[in-house]
Amino acid sequence: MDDFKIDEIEKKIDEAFQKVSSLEDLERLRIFYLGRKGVLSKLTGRLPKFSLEERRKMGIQINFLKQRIEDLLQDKEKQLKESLKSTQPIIDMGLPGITQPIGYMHPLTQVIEEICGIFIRMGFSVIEGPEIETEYNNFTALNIALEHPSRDVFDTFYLKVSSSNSKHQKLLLRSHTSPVQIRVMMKEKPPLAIVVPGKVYRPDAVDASHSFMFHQVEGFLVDREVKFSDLKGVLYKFAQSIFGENIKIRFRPHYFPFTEPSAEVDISCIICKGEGCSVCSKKGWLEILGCGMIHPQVLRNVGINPKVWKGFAFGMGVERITMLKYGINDIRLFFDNDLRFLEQF
Amino acid sequence: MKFTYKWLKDFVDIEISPQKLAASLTLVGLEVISLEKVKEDFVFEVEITSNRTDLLSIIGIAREVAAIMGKKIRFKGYGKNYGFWDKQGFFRFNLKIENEDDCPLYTARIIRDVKIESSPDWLKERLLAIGIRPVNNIVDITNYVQVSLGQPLHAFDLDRIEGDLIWVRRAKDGERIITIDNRPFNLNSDILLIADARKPIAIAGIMGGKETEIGLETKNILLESAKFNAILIRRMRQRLGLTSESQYRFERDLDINNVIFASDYAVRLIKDYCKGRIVLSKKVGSCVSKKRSVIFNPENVLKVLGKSPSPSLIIRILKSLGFIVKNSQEKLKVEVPTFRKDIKEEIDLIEEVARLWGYDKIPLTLPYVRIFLKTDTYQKMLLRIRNILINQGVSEVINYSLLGNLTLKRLKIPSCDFVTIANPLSHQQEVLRPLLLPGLLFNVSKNIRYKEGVGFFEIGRVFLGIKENNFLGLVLCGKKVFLKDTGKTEDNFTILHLKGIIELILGNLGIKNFDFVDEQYPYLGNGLRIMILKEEIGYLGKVDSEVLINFDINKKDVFAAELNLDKLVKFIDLNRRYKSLPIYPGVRRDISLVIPENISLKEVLRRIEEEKFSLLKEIKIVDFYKGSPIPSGFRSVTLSCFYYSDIHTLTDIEVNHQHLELCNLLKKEFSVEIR
Repeated sequence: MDDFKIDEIEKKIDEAFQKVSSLEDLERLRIFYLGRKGVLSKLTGRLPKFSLEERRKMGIQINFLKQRIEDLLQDKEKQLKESLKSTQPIIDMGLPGITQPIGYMHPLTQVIEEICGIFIRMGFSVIEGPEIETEYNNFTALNIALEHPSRDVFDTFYLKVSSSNSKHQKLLLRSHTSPVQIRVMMKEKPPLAIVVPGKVYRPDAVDASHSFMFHQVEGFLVDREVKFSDLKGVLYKFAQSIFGENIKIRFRPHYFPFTEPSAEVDISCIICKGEGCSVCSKKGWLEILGCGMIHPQVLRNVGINPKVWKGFAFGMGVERITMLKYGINDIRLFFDNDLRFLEQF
Repeated sequence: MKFTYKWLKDFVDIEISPQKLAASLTLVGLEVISLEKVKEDFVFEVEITSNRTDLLSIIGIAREVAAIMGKKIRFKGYGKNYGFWDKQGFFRFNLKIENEDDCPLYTARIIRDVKIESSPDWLKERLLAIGIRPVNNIVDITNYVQVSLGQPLHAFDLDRIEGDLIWVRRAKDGERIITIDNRPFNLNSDILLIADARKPIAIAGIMGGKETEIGLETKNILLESAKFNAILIRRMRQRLGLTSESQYRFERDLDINNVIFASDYAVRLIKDYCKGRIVLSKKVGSCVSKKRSVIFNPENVLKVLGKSPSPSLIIRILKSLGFIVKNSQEKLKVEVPTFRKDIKEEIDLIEEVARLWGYDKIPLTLPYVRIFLKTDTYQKMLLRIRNILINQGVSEVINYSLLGNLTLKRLKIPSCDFVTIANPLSHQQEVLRPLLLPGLLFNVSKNIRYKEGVGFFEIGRVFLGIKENNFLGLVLCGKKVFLKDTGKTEDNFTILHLKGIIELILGNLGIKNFDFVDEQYPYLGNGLRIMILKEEIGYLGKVDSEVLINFDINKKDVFAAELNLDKLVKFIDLNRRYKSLPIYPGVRRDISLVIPENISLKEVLRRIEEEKFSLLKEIKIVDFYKGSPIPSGFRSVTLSCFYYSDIHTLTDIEVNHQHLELCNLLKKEFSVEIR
């Protein structure tokens, strides 16, 4: 190697690079030329033997050579990597991805959590109450006279046992979540802002739109200055969160013994956007909940002075809202628990 | 309540279309359920809330319409009195009320020589339009007046009344009546009757008797208009199972002032359309109804609604609804018309103002919600449990809380402290569920037909005595089927899968001191009690094979568990403390051993822990195997031991010393063979 010339080396470079067919070969070539004991290093090592003029000339040549080799190395590497890619085994992306099987939360639970979540963000707290209730809490305290037609909408399952304490009151399965209002207001001092999710029971024959067991979410707020306009604002925000920003909402006067003024709340039909269709019976509106200002008599019944405190309350059927939200047409599907149904949510 | 557009126009001028009227009625709280064109008229059906008895009449609805449109109510033929009350003529007849609590007012009109025939067409058409079948002119007129004015009337065939006497009294045990719809009723003292001198002739306020029914041969009639006790009518309806348009109205406590008003109107119509002459008008009881007033401070409208119409508009609205408004200083004294029994206090008037002013005029505001924050560990716990279960591939179900007795028999549970329903609608609703398992077994049975494996959980109440508790129920059946990169893999569910999920939940909730103890359950093949410290939290086990057959689950194992969440929540600890990460490298040593099957690994681990090896930070079972080449009666187990010191890097000598001791302990006490 002692007598090799820079020109000679340069001539052989192209040939050497052409022969390279793998990244390993390329690395070997790099070491051969640019390694610590490689060709260029040796050339540089010999420089002191030459005159200053020759040294200068050769230095430039060596630098050019180095530059050229580095370029070639880079090009070849890129070329080899490209060709390597195309020869790797192909994964068929038509195959299913691999996961662990997961379970599904019941759609009613999901909607209950969504509803409660909205009110929690407004500052409400969640409280549950018993499903076995006294006649007093379910009716009397809520201003529903036991022998009055206003009670007829609350057909009720009675239990064969009666409560051992409190004057042997008749026990029943609560027909709405409103008795929890009574329980909370008897125990806690206002201000109060509560939502109550839970099961309720009414002896209805089961069909596509009736069930003897269903779910409600009750909400109420008691404070010194609470107004019907606040109820409207809160429920509008609620309807927007559940059904979308563009929903329209309407308050219609209604009667509930435990609120006054009372209202039923309609939303613009989510199917036809108010044009009128079969879902809304051509009305353009869908009823979603009942509400009102807590009746002063209810406040008096729990020992809260209605001259000082006011409140609003609302209650909604979770099944109805879920059915509207997802276009479910049969309430029985919720309790059939068919996985082909549950897995859709 | 049904009515027609033209019929309503008899009482009030209406200048808007039926469609616009329907929209206006809905917005003041008379929700129009349907509006149909019938011939030249429109039929409205309106939902009347149970507080508004006055709206069960066309005149009542006309009052609302008049208030909405600022009109005055008008009524043809109103105001004329027919016959002087209680003036004794040559005709003798007596009325008697046994108890004025049951019937505060009873009136009778005797009209002779009526001509019974078919009603005029306009009358028949109106009745047909609202779904009432025309019978004859007298009956049709009583029905027409009932719908127009809201007061039920009844006409008897006078010649079939025995003894010149009407007696309003409770029935005697054993008395019987056949009603005009041909149904026989055995009566007792819970039932109020209209009787003549010898027999019952009507069930008061509900339905007349067959015997005194108006027929084509009827010549003379007695027209009844009365007021009956609403609660009594309600109880009679419930006892007899007998309903009618009349009962529906009486049950809603009618206005006593309407009794004579309606009778007068009927008499006029009878004279016009049935000929006849009135010979006697009699009444017993009192028709005094006290005037009631409510003190009303208009400033409170703003406080309740958040916005208020002007005081003059408030007064105008109240007046339009028939209230008489008098000023007394800043407050108003509002006299309530007798037909508005629903108005009792100021808030009722505020609602009237809001309703007619329009709920849409009340703005949307947001309340200032003062913080009332309940920190609810229970809700936090539920969230964690649901998340874990879903991540484990278990799906949530919601089952009915009511079951049939038969279902509990299928579960082999001896009946004990079950809560039973007094008035079930079907045999599927007799008992409140004492556990979640039956519902979950139904879910498995239904779904396993088209799935190779299912896992379900339910969170809900169970009932024993009148105590209700929140429970978590869990079932696994069949196998988990999933893909690996080598293709399909199957994993048969066993009791260990269930144990794994429960341990995951308890661990996540920060519960350490739990244990599984053998226990007998009627519905489990081999059952285990889940204990936390000394308290029983629930069960887990393999469901008894006979029970599975009862639930139509064949040739499959089902593993089930239930946990009492109300008990569990007392033990949870959601606080976490950070432990510093290891500073020095630790040493992991595995022990592969062959151990007799009858030795419990739980005992082995307990014994090792008891020995308190100072450097042994963790020991766990990482593999187990049974079968060839392991001799029968033995199994192989791999224990992974992690040694660590937080003060220095461990040397081999230190680790070897403790590891050897550990191996010796296993050999000596559990006769294991270390491989």
